[in-house]
Amino acid sequence: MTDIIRLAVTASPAALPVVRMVLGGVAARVDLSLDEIDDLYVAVEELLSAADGLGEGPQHELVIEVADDGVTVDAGPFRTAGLRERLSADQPGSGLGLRTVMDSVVQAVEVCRAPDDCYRVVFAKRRGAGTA
Amino acid sequence: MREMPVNDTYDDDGDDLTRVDADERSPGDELFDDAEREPESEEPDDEAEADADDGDDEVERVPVAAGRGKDESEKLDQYLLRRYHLHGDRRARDQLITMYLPLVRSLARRYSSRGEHFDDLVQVGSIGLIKAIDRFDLSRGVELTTYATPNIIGEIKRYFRDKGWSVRVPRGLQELNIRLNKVIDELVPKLQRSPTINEIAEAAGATPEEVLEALETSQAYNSVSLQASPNGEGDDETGLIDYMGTEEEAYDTMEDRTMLAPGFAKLDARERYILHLRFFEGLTQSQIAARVGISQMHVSRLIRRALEKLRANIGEGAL
Repeated sequence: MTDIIRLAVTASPAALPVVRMVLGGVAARVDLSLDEIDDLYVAVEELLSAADGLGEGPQHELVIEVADDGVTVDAGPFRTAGLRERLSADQPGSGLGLRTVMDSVVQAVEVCRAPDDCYRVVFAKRRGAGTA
Repeated sequence: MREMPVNDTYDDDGDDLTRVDADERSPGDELFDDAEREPESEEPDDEAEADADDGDDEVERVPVAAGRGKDESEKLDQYLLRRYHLHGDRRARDQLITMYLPLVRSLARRYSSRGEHFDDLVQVGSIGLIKAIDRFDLSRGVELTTYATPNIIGEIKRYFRDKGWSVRVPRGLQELNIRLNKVIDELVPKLQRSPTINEIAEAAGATPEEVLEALETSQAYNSVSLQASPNGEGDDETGLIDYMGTEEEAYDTMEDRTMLAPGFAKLDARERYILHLRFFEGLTQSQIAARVGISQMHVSRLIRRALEKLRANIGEGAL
């Protein structure tokens, strides 16, 4: 069984607690562990904070797909080249970049094309799946 | 010359007298090292000599005698308290502080499962001890232990209440958050994995929604930086992080890979170490908690805070 939850939030750090609560509730339903839920939080916070920092907005839409074994998040629409660049592989020695963080905490991070020259970021958190 | 023990003190239960070895000193004890090196009081000697009943020897010259009973301990307390309060003898005060640090540690340990580092609580409790010694009223005829214990506990509780929460969080949620900390720490070794929200809720006697809400409140929780120097002064290069049991080899590797990266220099050593474990070694939060010796919730907060700092420090275009 797959449920879809759509959440539209203002592009602001103030929206993060709401996003966390929704994600947490959804993730708890599919029995993700506390560590896995926290990973999910980190991924969303880092992505949205980076987007906010680059002036993306004024709203972010999160489409949360709930499956039996985990959660998939589809966030967007984003427009800036800067965010897309940060989501590409981090350069060696560049420290802890957005891509490294995302790959460490969630699975299958992808940048997908969206209408109007925009793109969306999709990632998943599966129960019991290891991360990079 | 009267023989007075100087290093005998209460054990961790606060009721028996035992000797405290130098090896057993906790990091928090360093708080008092400077005070112990203070120059001697310039109080006129004639005033000290006038109080013959209290002994006219300097405290530091009083020989050590082991195996002292409770009555003798009380006498020593009274002797030192009078030296301090009547004659301003700072060394007597310092000795009392040293003697009662195990009591502070014992009381701090009771609260160490609530998400704060034990050494932080010892420091806070020590402030309560110092206040108790400074405010002790000789005329009331009570024992110092009786007076100091509620002062120490009060200071620790005040720390949790006033400094722990950066935004207003309902008391019920604060309490549940504290309870969850303990529940999670119990569940991880029992299950040999990170627990689910439903498991935590069942163990805590709460609903999953309440658990999520209480966990969310932990983001509003501030903990004292362990990078802060033990004596609370900014000029001390040694932070409490230096007392943590870390693996030097792993630490060196972490330094090689990330120390030169933008933004990392602004993180404290523990933050760098925890980020390294999570993002370069691939440890889970629970595994990091076990390795570093703090709670999973604390690891969660530290990771998020360190990432926030990184974002702020690196600025646009670097992360």
